[in-house]
Amino acid sequence: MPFRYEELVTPRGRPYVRVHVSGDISLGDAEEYVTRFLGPYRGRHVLSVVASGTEYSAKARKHLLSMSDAGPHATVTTSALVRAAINLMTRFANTGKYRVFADEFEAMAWLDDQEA
Amino acid sequence: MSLTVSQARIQELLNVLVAAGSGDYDVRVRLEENDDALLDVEIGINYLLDDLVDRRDQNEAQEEELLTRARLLARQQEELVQALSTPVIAVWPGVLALPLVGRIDDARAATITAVLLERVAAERASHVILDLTGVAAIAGATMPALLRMVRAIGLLGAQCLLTGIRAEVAPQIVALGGADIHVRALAQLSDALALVLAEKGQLDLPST
Repeated sequence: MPFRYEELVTPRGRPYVRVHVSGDISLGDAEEYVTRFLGPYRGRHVLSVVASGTEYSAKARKHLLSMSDAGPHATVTTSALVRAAINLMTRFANTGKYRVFADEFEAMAWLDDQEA
Repeated sequence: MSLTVSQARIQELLNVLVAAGSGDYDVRVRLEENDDALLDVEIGINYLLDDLVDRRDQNEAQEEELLTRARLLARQQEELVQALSTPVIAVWPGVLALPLVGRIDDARAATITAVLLERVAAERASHVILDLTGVAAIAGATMPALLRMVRAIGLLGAQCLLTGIRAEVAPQIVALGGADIHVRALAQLSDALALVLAEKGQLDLPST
């Protein structure tokens, strides 16, 4: 599975969902992801760690754009390609609180500062 | 903000844009981990090409669906025209009537003959009334086709009657050799039916 979920707590005690992302993401994967964040994880803070080489299919990208009213979302990646891809996707979507980081500590600090 | 970009990357972008502009949407910019603003542009072009491929596929699928529907409609229309062109009616047990309408060429005559002969055999018909009320003109090919139809009906042991021959059509039939058809001609379909029923002893015709 390209997505692996963990329910954790930030250093300030705020619950968040950590998502490990890797591999090729299909429409089916994107649908499952969106269903979670518009369902049981709605409004939750999210920290996604996206591995190098992760690829989003065109249909998956479009479907992920439909997730407009999710909670604050920090993405961590060391891949310039992944960062550029996510930046482009977030330009199309009115995703609200969304940032991409290269460093996980920075990402966590930003996420912890966001209002629920 | 300044950006130093290699000539090779610019050339790669141009090549992809030229190919896409020529209708090849399957080309993609080769991506490398270049952490610069041009990478966003390169990925953006690839995403745009993905979109174009998606829309092309949708268009092709819609076109295919339209073609399938058009073929189905054409087949249904053909079946309907064929059914309407050979409306064989059993007007009495053993008596069939076929109102002929429009131009009858060789192909249509062959279809009509086949359908009619099948019905004659299936219903053991003794009489067939060919009604020409709807035939405004006899074309060159119609007369021989009609002759063949009458002969074939006779070979199955049924008697053929012609009705509804218009005044302007009668000379054409004679000119085309139709007078050689040894069949009884009557003014109206009802006259032919009355005659047949009288022959069968099921109707008393008033003496004239």
